[in-house]
Amino acid sequence: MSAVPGSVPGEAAIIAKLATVRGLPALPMVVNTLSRRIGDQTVSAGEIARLLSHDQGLTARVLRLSNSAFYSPKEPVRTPEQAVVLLGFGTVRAIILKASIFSAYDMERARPFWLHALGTACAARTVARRAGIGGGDDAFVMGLLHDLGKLALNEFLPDLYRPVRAAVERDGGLIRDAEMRLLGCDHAAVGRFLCEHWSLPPAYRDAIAGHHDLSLASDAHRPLAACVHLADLIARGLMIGSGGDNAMPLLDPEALRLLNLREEHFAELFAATEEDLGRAEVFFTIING
Amino acid sequence: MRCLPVADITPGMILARPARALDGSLIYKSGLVLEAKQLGWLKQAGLHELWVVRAGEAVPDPTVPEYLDRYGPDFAAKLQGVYSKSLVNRTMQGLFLAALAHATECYRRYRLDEREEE
Repeated sequence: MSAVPGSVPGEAAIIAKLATVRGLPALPMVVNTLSRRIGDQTVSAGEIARLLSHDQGLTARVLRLSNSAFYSPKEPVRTPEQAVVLLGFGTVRAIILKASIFSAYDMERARPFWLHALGTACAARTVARRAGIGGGDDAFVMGLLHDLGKLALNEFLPDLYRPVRAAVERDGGLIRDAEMRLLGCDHAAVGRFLCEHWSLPPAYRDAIAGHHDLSLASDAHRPLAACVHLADLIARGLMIGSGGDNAMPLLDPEALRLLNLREEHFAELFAATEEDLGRAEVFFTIING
Repeated sequence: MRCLPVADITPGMILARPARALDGSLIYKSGLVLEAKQLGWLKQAGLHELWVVRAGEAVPDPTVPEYLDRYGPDFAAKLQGVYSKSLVNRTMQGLFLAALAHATECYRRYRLDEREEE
């Protein structure tokens, strides 16, 4: 599957190709149910724990993470319900989605990508808390998943994506610019498709689709897209991992306005994100385990 | 230097970064030549991945904490490279200066901490 030289496939063609890829991961039933129930405001930690306990591997990961230095519980966490309460629904969703969606990828090869995702996740949580957008758990998951489209393009349409990566390596610049030039579609659009494919909540879809172009998010979820947009830049500024390029996108001033943040807050955001990152490698090891 | 699953590490490989328990405490310092017995303990401690080099390969400077690997002594040049084409307005310049100040502070603080430990 390769593009005709000189032609640009465009978003519809890229999405159509991805939709027919056999290896595109599907979410196991328990993960789908868990993800959907976590989005329901009436759900209890007990119900999530009961659903979680249908999958021993996921339960073990959640317990290991909740007992790690990343969360430093005062007492050992012994039950899934305690773990769900400690971690928060958003983090539990991060673990189950991460474990399920990315089981199809070669994580050793994708390690720089994941470090960037984790840096963005920590930054998104920091920004969300500072901006007063919830507790930051949802923002953390959105940060973790924001570049899903790159991974899917690289893994499932390698013949089309290889020239994009080669162009960035050769000419520098942003990978998104090369995607738009060579594919007529960027990884954020692919991320949007994947969110719909997996029936993730609309807020996730919007934040991922709009993390480079805030206008692509709905009004209701645009602040979350702004959060991930700024978090991506903070992670790049912290030089953690790699999003596939070695450049810095421009910060949309609208993001700062939506988040009620100013330039004076940058130093504080870098420092607070760094604090999270100090423990992030442990998190990364655990959720990969 | 590579990060490998503990199951794939063979005796004779050398720890390139400290092995830390999940609570962050130090198990082995970098530079240790791993034996089968130690690999067994690391598995028991719940570790899944370790940074290693093969025998004969250079081990990274242990006086530079792993935390700073991504900055390194050339962090300022790296940051300038990343931002080189984006310093087009005051906001981006502010972002760059905040990143540079933060990296400088981290580098200074952790290098000093490390020296004090020695």
